[in-house]
Amino acid sequence: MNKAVLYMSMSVDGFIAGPHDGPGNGLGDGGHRLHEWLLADANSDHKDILGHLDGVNREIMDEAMSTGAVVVGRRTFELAGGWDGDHHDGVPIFVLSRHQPDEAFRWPGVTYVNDVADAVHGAKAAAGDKDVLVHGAVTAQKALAARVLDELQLHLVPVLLGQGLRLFDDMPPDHVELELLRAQDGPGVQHLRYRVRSEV
Amino acid sequence: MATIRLDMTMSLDGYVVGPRDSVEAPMGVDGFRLFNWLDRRDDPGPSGQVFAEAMATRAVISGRRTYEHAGRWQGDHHDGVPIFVLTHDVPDDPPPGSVRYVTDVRECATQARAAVSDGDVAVMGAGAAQALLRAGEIDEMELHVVPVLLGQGRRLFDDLPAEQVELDLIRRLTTGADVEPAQQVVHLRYRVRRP
Repeated sequence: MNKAVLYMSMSVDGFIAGPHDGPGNGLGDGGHRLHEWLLADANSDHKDILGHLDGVNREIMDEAMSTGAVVVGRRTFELAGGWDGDHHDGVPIFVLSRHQPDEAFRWPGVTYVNDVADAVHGAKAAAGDKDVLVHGAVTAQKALAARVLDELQLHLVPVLLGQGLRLFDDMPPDHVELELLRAQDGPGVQHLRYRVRSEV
Repeated sequence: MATIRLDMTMSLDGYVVGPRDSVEAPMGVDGFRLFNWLDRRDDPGPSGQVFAEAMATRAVISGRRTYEHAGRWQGDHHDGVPIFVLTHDVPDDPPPGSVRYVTDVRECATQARAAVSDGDVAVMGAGAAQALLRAGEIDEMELHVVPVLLGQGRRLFDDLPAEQVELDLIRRLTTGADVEPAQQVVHLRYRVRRP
């Protein structure tokens, strides 16, 4: 069975973007700090980033980029310019949205879905035997609540941002048990991989 | 040089206490889940090591809520070391055991540093942690990150200013494959970089 895996960079205080995130400031004030481990410079095209990475960071990104489909929230998708319709290798992208998209955000291979379970199931079917990359805080929260997220691959960045957008917020007080599968240290980042223990 | 080190167990989603905590339910709903790793505190291995280190600190700084919810540790957190309780409102009754009440955060840090000379000070509680972080008085952080999402509760990092604080990882200790998921934990030690 393929898995739905959340990939997110997060500060030690739990933020995935700085304050005042929005169009033109997709990661919020100071939020680019969270992606420094990944980007040679802030202006790099995300499709060219792997070239300069090595070691553990390279390994983790290779895993992310070998997924067979993407599930992303509409806000994250639009702030990223829809990756021009291609996140990596032209794999299918499922965008979680309550509304139909603007013309500017329609591409072949991009499907809009209003239910997170439908999005994950559709993505898993489309990915064949490959895993599904899940991205975005709201999408993560919904996928956890709907119990359709299988694993979390967090890139824990050694910084406190103080304010911003949290990965885990507005969650129900349901206690979700995880299992630590792997902890790895890359330059400037700790990669922690967890499995959601659906059996408990 | 004394080291003031925050020492806190937190869920992966950043909570140190579950929802609806009170004196009767000091860890809130499900909050005691966070302390399962301490079942391994007397074992050799990472959890035993970090617990022994915490018990070797020579002073404690605590927030008032943590102090009260812990039953004031009956005046002795460990080995009778001085306990500096940061509070806005000093109780009328005399402090028990080795407890001293301090109302000013910088004064609290200064007194704790003086008390340990070259030793370590353990900081307990989210309130004290936030006050000391805002004052730039935390030197290191030992975070015991537990593989659970509590969903709600009291956060370790909350109400901090939008100021980037750089950390350097000093050490990561992780429980081994012999440890069942309920007792797993990642012990991350960071140094707080001064601007």
